[in-house]
Amino acid sequence: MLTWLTGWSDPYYRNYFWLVTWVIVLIGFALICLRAFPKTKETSENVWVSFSPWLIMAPLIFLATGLGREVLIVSLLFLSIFCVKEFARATGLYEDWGFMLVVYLGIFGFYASIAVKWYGLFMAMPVYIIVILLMIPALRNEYKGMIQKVGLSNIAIIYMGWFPAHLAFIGDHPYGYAYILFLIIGTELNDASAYLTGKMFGKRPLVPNISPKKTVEGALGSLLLTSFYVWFVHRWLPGFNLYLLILSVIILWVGGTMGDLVMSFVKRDIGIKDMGKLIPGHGGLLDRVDSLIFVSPLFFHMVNYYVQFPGGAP
Amino acid sequence: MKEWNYSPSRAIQQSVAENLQGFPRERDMTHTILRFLGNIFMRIFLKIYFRLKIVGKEHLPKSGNYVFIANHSSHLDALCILAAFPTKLIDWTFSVAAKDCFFSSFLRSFFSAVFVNALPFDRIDKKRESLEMCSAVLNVPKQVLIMFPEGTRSMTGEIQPFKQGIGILVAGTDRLVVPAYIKGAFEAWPKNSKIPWPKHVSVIIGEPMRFSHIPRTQEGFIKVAREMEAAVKRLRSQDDEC
Repeated sequence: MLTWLTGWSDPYYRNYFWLVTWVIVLIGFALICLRAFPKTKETSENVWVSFSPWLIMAPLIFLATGLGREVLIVSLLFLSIFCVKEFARATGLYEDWGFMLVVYLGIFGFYASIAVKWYGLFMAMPVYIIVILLMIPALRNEYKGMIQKVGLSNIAIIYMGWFPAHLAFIGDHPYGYAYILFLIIGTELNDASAYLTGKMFGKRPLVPNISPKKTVEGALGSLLLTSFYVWFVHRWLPGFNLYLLILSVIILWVGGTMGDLVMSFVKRDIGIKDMGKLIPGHGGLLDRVDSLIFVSPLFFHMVNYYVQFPGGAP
Repeated sequence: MKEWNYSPSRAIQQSVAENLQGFPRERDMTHTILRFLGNIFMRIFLKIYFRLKIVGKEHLPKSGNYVFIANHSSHLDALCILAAFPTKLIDWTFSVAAKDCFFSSFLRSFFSAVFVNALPFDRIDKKRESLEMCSAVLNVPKQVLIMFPEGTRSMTGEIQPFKQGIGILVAGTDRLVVPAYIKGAFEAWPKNSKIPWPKHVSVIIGEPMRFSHIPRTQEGFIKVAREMEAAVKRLRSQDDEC
C-alpha cells in the first residue's frame, strides 16, 4: 500500500531501486569502455544518446512512485495530460477547444475517482465521457469533420487518460510498490532490449509498413530478456505463482511490443516521425510511454483477478 | 473511404523551448487556462501589494486593434498594463519584450510566453523582421500590442527619448495609439533592484491618438515618436497637477 513517504521503507521498492541503479551503472560503464575502442566508438555514441535520458527518467520514476499515493496520482495525471497534448497536437485536435475541454475534464475525473478510491465510478466514467463527446456535434448543430474529432477524442480519452490511470489503482494494493515498479521497469526493459537486440542482430523486418526499424530478431530478443527479467525478480513478486509469472511475461512482451506499434501506426498515418522533441533520442513523451500505457490495464486486471485486492476491488 | 485530414501542429517538430520562443504562437488551451489564472492572481497581487490604481480606463477603445504605449522604468510596467485590460482580451494582447532578456532561458521563455503572452522582439540583429512581426499582429482584428518605445528600462525613472520604430508601425495608417503613463513603478522596482518594494503604483491612460496624416518618411517616423513622447509627458504633468 502506498502511503505518504513509505517508499524507502518498503523492501520491494529498495530491491527494484538497487536493481535499476546497478543496471544503469553497468550499462554506463560498458558504454564508456566501448567508446575507447575505435571499432565500437560510433555504436556506443549512438546508444549513449538514447541511454542518457534514463539518468533523469529513472530518478523521476522512483520519486513519483516512492513519495506516496498522492504524488503518484498527480504525476500520472500530468503524464496523461502531456500525452493527450502531444496526441492532440499531432492530429490537429488541439484546434477544437470544446473536445479538448471534455477530454481534459474527463482525465481529471478519472484521477479524482482514483483519489477517493471509487472503483465503480472509475470503471463507468468512460461511458459518460463518450456520451458527452458524442453530444457535442448535436449541441453545436455542426456535422463537418465531426466523426474525425469524436473518434480522435475517444482515442485520447481512453488510450491516454483511462489506460495509464489503471497504474494508479495498482498502488492501492498492499504490494503496490512491487507491482508498479515491476511493471514500469519490465516494459521499459522490454523496449530497450528489443531496440538493442534489433540493432545488433536485426535482419528480418517485423512489420515493414508500420515500423521498418522493428525486427523479428528484436522481438525474440526482448522475449528472451523479459523472461530472464521475470525469472530474476520472481522473488520480489509476492502472491505470484508460476502460472502468473508466465502470464506476466506474455503481457509484458506482447503488450510492450504491440504498444510500441500502436503509436507507430498513428504516426505513420499522420505522416510524422516523432510525437515531439521532449526526450532527446526518444522523441516525444508519448513515444516513450506508449507501451507502458498499453500494458497497465492488462496487468491491473490480471492482478485484480488472480492476486486480488483485499476486500474486493480497490 | 475518403482519407481524414490531419493538420499537425508546428510544435511537434520543435523542442519545448523553440516552441515557446516561436511567434506567432499557436493558440493552446492549456496555455490560455494558465494565462487566465495567472492574470487573475496577478491582478489581486498588484492590487494588494502595490495598491494598483488605473485612471482613464474609459479611454481604451472598445473594439478594433490598437497599440498601447507607455514609459518603461520597471518590470512591473507590462504586468500593470495587463491588469488594466479586460480579462477577455488577455489572449489577444501581446507585449513586446526583448528576446535577449525575456527569452534567454527555458524558465524565462515559459513565463514570458505563457503568462505575459510576450512577443519576442530581437532588438540586436533582427529589428526589421521583429517590426514586421509586430505589424502582422496589428493586422489581425481585435489584437492589441503593448509597446515601450523607449526600448529599455530607464535607469533614473525619467522618460527617455522614444525610438522611431513605433513610427514605422503607425505613421500614415489608421491604427489607434493609446498612450499611458505609469507612475510609481520605478520607485517600487527599479532596474538595479532585485526585489519589488510595496509602493503605490498607478497607470494613467490617455486619449487615443491617430497618425494617419503623417507621411511614411524618416522625418514622419521621428515626428510620431516626438508626439507620443509629448503625450506621455503631458499625462505625467496632468497627474502632478492633480
